[in-house]
Amino acid sequence: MIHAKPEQWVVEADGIAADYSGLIALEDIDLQLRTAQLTAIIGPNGAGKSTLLKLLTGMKKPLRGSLKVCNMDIHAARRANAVAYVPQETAIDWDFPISVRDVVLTGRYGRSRQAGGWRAWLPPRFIGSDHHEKALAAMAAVQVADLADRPIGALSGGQKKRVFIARSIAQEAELMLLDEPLAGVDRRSERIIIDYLKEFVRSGKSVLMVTHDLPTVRDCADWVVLVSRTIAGVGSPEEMLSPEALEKGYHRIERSKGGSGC
Amino acid sequence: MLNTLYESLLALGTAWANLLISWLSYWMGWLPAAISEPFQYQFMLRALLTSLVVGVVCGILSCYVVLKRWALLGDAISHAVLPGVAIAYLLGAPMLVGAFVSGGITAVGIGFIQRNTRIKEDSAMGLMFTAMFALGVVIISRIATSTHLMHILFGNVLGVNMETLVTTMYTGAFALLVVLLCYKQFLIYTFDPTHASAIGMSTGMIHYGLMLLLTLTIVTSLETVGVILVVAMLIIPGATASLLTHRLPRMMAISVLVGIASTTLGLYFSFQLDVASGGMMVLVAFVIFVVAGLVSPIGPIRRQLRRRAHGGLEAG
Repeated sequence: MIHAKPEQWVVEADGIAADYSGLIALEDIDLQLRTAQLTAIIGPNGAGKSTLLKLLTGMKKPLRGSLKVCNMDIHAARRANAVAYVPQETAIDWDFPISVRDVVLTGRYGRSRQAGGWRAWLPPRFIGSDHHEKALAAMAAVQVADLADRPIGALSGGQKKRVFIARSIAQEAELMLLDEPLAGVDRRSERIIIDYLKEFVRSGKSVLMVTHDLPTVRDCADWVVLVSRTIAGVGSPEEMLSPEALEKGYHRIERSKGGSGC
Repeated sequence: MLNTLYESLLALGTAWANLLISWLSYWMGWLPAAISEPFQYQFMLRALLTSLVVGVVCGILSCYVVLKRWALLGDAISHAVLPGVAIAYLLGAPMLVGAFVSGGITAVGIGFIQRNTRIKEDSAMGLMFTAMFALGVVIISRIATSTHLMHILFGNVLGVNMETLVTTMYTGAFALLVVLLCYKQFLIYTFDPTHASAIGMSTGMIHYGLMLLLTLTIVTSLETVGVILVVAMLIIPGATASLLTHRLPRMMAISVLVGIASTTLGLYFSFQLDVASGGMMVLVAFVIFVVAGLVSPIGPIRRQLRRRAHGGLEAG
């Protein structure tokens, strides 16, 4: 077997565990994900899928184990703007007084700080025209440029998702994390999102998405990770979406739930 | 060394304050005598300048309090600074330092209870801030008169001296500078903290920074509206502005206007009617809120007008 080059992995997790005030949410996570792949994370509710994303954004610290993104520890990866995050619909207050343009521009904040200089301290309007142009290009890539001046709350579910994907595009990250990107999304938005993600992966970047939408996983994902408190299986969509594999993954959590009830 | 620095800062601030006061009294000359009459007095001009600073700072911070849903936290901190203020008074130290320390202890205490027990955030807050407030009341009842307690609880803007005015101006200017320089950090943190974390910002630092700023604002407003009512000045301007716009910068501008209008009008009415200034300011703010609620795009008046216009079309 050919020895894998270190730069091939976008995510390397070694013995990761995470908890919520003592309640273990994830255990013994050993995972290595190749770059330039669209990886889907599937698993039953409460299996720790979103927790895994939170670990990768640094929003949550692992209880133990080591986690690397693009060969950097999480802290360095965040500083390098390597990880972009598209939140779940329920994670955002849609009444927030912010326009689509300004949401996408928040994707450039990290880059502006990386570039340094006095402009990085200024309010977003003055951080420089190159950042504004990149934000505009990002909006165009998922066809939300014409909505730029609308308040974010006035958009449909699919448009909102595209705006947050535009924010990730503007960030120019190596790894895009998406939490349920296709939930409550209309057909047209779904098409635009999936097309963009495929193009993103073709350009050598990586996508990691949590989803319940198994047909989409079958059609689009290059790799599937089945999570139920630990890694219940990793493989190609054909392998992982077989009835036996799903049974195994979804059954485990039922059993462990039953066990903890006793 | 520290003393000379303090003296020179105070002198600089006093010069600025005097400049602003003479500027204000110049503009008063343009107003009808009936309105400008109370502002012949130096103490009223000092009170007016203090009210303006408090209106601006509270207006800005109020946007974050409303958007981050920190109304209860604001209430908690404002009550919790009381023992610090009392002890600082006892030791002759600046009030700001005492307030900071006891505000900080409360914030850490809330976090500690939340992390280490099963008690939820709202209960933890209620527990800590009432305990601190009680401690403050006990200390004050031991060392000071009840008039003094009343002044701390409900503010005494007419009694603001030059030193307090200068401190208010410095803390206000500092708070505004921080908000300007950290606008982006605060924006992402209030809108989508996970994104803030993903692009390498320290959410913990931003959280405590914003909380410290809130404490600073509360202490700044202490003399004007007092411990009990300051939270109203941290909620009403932002809430009013949020009814009227969908943009954060505009929301901040409107919120500042509401803040200034309520503190200055409140001061004026409290002088004319001889009533408590802090209470009057909050009442004016509330009236502005109600009016804004009525005329806002989604308020009842415009809705009624739209319905009528719509109905007219259908009839035609």
